[in-house]
Amino acid sequence: MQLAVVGLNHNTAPVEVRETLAVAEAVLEELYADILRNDRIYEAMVISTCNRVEYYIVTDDFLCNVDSVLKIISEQCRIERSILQKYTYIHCGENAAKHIFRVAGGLDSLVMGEPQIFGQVKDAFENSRKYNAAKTFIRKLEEFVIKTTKKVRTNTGIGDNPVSVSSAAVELASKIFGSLEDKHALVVGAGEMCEIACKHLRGASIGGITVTNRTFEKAERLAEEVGGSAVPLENFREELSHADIVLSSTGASGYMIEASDIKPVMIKRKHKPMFFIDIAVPRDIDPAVADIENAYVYDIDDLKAVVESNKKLRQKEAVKAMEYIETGVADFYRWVESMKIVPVIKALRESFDEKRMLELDRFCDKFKVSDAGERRKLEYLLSAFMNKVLHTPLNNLKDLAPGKERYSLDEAVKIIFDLKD
Amino acid sequence: MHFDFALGAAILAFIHITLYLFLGNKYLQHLTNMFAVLAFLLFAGSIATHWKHFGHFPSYSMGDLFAMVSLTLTLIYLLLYMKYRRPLLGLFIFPLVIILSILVLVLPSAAPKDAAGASSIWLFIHLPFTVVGTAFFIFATVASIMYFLQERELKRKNFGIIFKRFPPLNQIDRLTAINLLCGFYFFSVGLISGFVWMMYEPDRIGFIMPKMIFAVITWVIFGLITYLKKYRGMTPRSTAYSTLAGFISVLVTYAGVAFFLMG
Repeated sequence: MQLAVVGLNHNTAPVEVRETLAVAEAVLEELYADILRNDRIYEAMVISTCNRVEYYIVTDDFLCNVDSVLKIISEQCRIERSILQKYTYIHCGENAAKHIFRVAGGLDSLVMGEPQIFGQVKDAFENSRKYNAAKTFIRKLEEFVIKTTKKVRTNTGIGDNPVSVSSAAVELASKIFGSLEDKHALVVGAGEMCEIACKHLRGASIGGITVTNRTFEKAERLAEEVGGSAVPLENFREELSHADIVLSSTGASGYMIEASDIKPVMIKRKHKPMFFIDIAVPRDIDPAVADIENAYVYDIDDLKAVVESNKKLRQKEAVKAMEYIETGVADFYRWVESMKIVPVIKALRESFDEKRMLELDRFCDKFKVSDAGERRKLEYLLSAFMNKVLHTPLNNLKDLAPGKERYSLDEAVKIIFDLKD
Repeated sequence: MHFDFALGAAILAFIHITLYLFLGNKYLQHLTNMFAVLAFLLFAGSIATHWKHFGHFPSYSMGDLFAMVSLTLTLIYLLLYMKYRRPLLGLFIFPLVIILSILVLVLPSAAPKDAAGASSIWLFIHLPFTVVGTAFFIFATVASIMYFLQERELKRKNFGIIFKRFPPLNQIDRLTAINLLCGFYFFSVGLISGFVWMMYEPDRIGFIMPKMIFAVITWVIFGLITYLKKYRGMTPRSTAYSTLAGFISVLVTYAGVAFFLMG
């Protein structure tokens, strides 16, 4: 049995194609049923996010069966096969396994190392189990993927350094204040950038947010959305002394906040630190504010520099993450190899069982054992003896199976039966 | 023997915290703390052995004093770690512990001839409280240095190792404030008990000895910083500068002790 994947992602397909192929949760049951209708596809798992749609199948003839998956996708999404083939990638065997490990670890994501994909992959595995499309292979794959991804996220810095302007600003704020729970942010402007930044600040559990904007209604709307309060633009300077973080992104042509505004504010605040985030172009905050003690001013270029440096760090960490993934894939395939011996073990056990029953019948006939209780005792004895005898060789067989070493006959017998020299 | 091993453990703790600074691996942090615990136990063991061997509490030589300071610094590092999880304090503390430990090994540890006479109960209050107070002042100084370094990184927009590994500014400032407060409390008790001890034994130490004068200066400086910080909203940078000034005063006081040995 082999694992194969047919899919497309943000690197191979434009958003129009990705949205056409996206799989809604409501159709999952039907989709799994369609896939598994093919007798040669034993298990399946579908991942559908905004950046990727991937179909994983467990099959014994991947070329032929991947074609059947493509047919299903093409019919379900009413998309021509030729277009589909243009945007999809196909991996099989170890490459397919490596792919799912990379996806779960965030190494194949648009934003390298983003953590959401791990949750999405776990959901996909769960759905596969829910619709009876996951059996031994996919379940074991899930176990290895989760274990390896946890190692990647714990032991590497793949998700440590924020790579968006807003999250970089929140990280900087955390470097000044530590916890933001008792801090207050003043947001000057109510545009898209401010909205994103407000959401990041909320995500960092900021104590409170005050929004101000030239159009007061917009400020009120954003404040309501993020659970803050709004003040008219004319009065926003009065709020400065309560603000630990000031984020500004307006279309104003001059400075909204001058150094002369901040000096008295600092005295009023007993010189508690203030963090100014200026994401407006032209800038809203006078750069001279940075010269004031305990005032830290970062403009859009500074934040972009943080983001770029963090991206490089994540690239470095991706190399470390790949080492964990290689190990995870190797471990998984060791398990896959060990499974090849399972039919042999099963046959061996059945053969022993058959012989055991045969011998029991012969014994009972020969020594005239007619009592059911006596027969049960003998059966128990034989069964216990057989299990004892088979335990070591069967375990050793399982351990030996994935190895690439070749043994001579006498060596193999010694290893399997645990015989000393 | 214990002391050699304690020094070894402190060196290992320093090596691991330095590696943690550069590599950021959490296991290195755990190893640092493990060696710090080991160093603490060995320092305590060494002092106890010394006490048992000489039959009096080891408080008569500069070496004895430095051994106590090393023990206290290690203990406070561990307590602060348990409370605030900031292992990088060790980056500055362990070198100091190492230097002090080397001095303990180098300096003579013989008790003066009149040692038996100097076993007043006031000594047993004065000495530990002064040492613990001093150790907290040292931690406040270390936190101040960390504040300067982190603030410089933030102002210059350098996002290197210091930015990444050092604690946030607010937390460093809080650490400074707590260490100042604790230091001031312990040092005050130590100083007052020292004065009482002097009244009982006026022949031994005079009120106008340099070490007494500098001990009072140290107490005044740290008292002032603690007051201004708590009630007047002293800026973190000014606190950091003042704490450094206080630390110099601590050094001078201990130099006074070094010259006059007793106390």
